[in-house]
Amino acid sequence: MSRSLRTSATGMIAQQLNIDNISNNLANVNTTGFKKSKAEFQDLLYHTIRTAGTSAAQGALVPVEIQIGYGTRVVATQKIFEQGNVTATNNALDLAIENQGINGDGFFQVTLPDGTTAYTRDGALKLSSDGQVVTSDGFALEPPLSISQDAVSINVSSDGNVEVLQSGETAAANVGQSELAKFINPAGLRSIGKNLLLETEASGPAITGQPNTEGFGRISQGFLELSNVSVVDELVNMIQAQRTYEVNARAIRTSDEIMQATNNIAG
Amino acid sequence: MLQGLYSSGSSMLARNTRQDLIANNIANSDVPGFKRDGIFLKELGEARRKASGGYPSWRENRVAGGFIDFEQGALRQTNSNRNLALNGPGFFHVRTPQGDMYTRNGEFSVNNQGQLVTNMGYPVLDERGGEIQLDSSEFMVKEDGQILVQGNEVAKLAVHDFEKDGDGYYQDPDGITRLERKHNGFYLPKPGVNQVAKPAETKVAQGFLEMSNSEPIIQMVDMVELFRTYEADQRAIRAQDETLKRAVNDVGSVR
Repeated sequence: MSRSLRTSATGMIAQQLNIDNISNNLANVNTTGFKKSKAEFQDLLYHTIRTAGTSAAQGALVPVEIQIGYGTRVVATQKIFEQGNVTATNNALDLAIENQGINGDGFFQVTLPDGTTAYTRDGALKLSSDGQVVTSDGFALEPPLSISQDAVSINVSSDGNVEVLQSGETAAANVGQSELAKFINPAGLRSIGKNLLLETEASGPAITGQPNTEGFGRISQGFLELSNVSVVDELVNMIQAQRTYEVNARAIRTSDEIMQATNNIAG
Repeated sequence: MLQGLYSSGSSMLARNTRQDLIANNIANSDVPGFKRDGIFLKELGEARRKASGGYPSWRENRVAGGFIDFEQGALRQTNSNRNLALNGPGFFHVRTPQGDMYTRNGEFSVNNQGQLVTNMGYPVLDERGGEIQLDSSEFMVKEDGQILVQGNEVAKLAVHDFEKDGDGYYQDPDGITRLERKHNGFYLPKPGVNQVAKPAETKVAQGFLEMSNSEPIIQMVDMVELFRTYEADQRAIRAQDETLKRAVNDVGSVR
């Protein structure tokens, strides 16, 4: 009897995790470059009560076997790297990676204080006090890019070429070339917060290359990539998860009532 | 003793088993490609007729067997190119450390070696039984399973099916199931069951997932029905218990 109680409990636990994941997606609906994730479920082990073809007590052949499952579990939360909507900001250091007309799951590379390289789709870049191009959290872009104090305008081309017009000059000077990284399995990257992702064994090593080449996407200056969370989709998923949770809870109640009825046989 | 006590008791045991199955169906109502379980109960009369001894073999005989209902699940659009659904009978072919298995859950991804794998990381196989090397997370799967990367065919996805009976069930003429259920949505054919070509009507749909065919409404109705039957049986036992009590304590007592 306790089998069905536990089975329903696994269903509730899985839906709870599903809701946790949906909440995080919804909380980040306004996070630049955020990628939603999705919980993936699988069924658990099966217990074979009687195998087909074995004989029952009186020699009758059992025609079909009975397999009873032990519930469900979450096996993975998969990040969905669908392109988010792009919004114009007119800020020279806001860069979006777009895949219009060119395939691409490229990432900006940033250097963390401990020297490791992290990856991000958040291109809301800033200038630090010493003229370095950094992320909102102050991590330097890789390869490093510095822009002098007297720059009048900054121009980033779709292939990542950075040109700066200094005050008192007539021609823009090339100050650097930005580079993107791509992964064979971006879903295997590990999120570490602050919009940053780390390379893992599952993602495979980073492959670096120039923007506007196949597989990297191209850079749009003055734009930011919004999160790819669709509020309507998430709300539908949430309703579904909540109702599934309720049905599981109802199954627990029925199992409970069955046990109660059993206990009341001899009144 | 009263035979009716055994009849009511045997019915209650069978409903317990049915509740176990329903609980599992409900718990898996969000697993893509999950197929619901059912059981059939046997009439008690038949079980009694087969009984050789005088003592009723009520304990086991009511549950005649279980079956997996392979009815097609609804397709849900996910917009992820790694999600594949089968519309029609058939299974994806997957290589696991426990040997080759078959599944209808098309929630796939690409691993660090650029191969198409399940969400447990097991390689999905092509028609020739080899692993599918994509080398790119951008790929297209056509209705017939052909996989294209940048317009070039790299492999053809394996979609296998197994012998069915005349009514389209995976059962042999004696009604014995031909597929055994494993965990993680896998199925394994019983020894001696032949693999057959995939039916022409089966199509691979990219960007879709096949939802579980265990619909909560049906499970709820089944659950309510089983519980009320269980309750009725319980009342019947109490009533018979009362009768026995009368027989033992009151009949024949001289006042």
